Amino acid sequence: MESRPNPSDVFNVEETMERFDDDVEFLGDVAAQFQKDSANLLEAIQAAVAAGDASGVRSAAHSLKGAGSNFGAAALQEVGQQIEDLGVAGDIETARPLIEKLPNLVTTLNNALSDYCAAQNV
Amino acid sequence: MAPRALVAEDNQLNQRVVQRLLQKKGYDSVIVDNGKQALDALSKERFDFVLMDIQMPVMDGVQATLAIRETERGTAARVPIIAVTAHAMRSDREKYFQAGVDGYVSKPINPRLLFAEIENLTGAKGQGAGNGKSSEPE
Repeated sequence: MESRPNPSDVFNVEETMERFDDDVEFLGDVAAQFQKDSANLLEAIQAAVAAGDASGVRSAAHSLKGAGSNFGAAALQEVGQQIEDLGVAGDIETARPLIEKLPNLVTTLNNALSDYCAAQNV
Repeated sequence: MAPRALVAEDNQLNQRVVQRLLQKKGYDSVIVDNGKQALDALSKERFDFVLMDIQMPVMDGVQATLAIRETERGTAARVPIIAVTAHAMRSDREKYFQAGVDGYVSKPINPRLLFAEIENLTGAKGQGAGNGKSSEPE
């Protein structure tokens, strides 16, 4: 198995646990929801790119960034913000390479959340 | 009776987080997706306070706050409204207060700051730990 980054290198564990009242079950529930929402938002971004819909790119990137912010997921939030800004500017072409980074960033966050929750539940 | 919150927030994940935080503190909450739905809910039911996201589709939080204050004009009613938004600059926050919000909390939510603002503005406290469940609609 490929080694995964330490969860605390992917999301802000301290801030996140404060947000979720030190309740791992609460975090796990929200992480499961994030897994579904992020998959839908990635699809929405791809569809918007295919349709040349910059406003759709902006809106889905904004939602993904906002969702990631619940975990203080710095890398995902930063790329999401850049895509959102490019969507506002109507510049889908410049956003393209950033959009290609999103699936990996989302997967890394999902793995980190699931690893962290699993480690707390032993 | 548990204090009741109306939460206007378009991001589903944020909805879930806020609703659960409120439940855990013993508040009841109704969640809506935009400012228009918040106005509709307020016209039908009584709430102790509103958590108002600013950036929402259909009707944003500033427009909704202005509309809510308009409906209250000439009445004794004034529901406390707490603006919830990410990365607001001072000039933005001034705009929210001018529109009629009473308080401000930045996103992502810090529960300690959120509940301090709620208690500060409503004088209400949730019902301790709560039972972790929201009340069922009647």
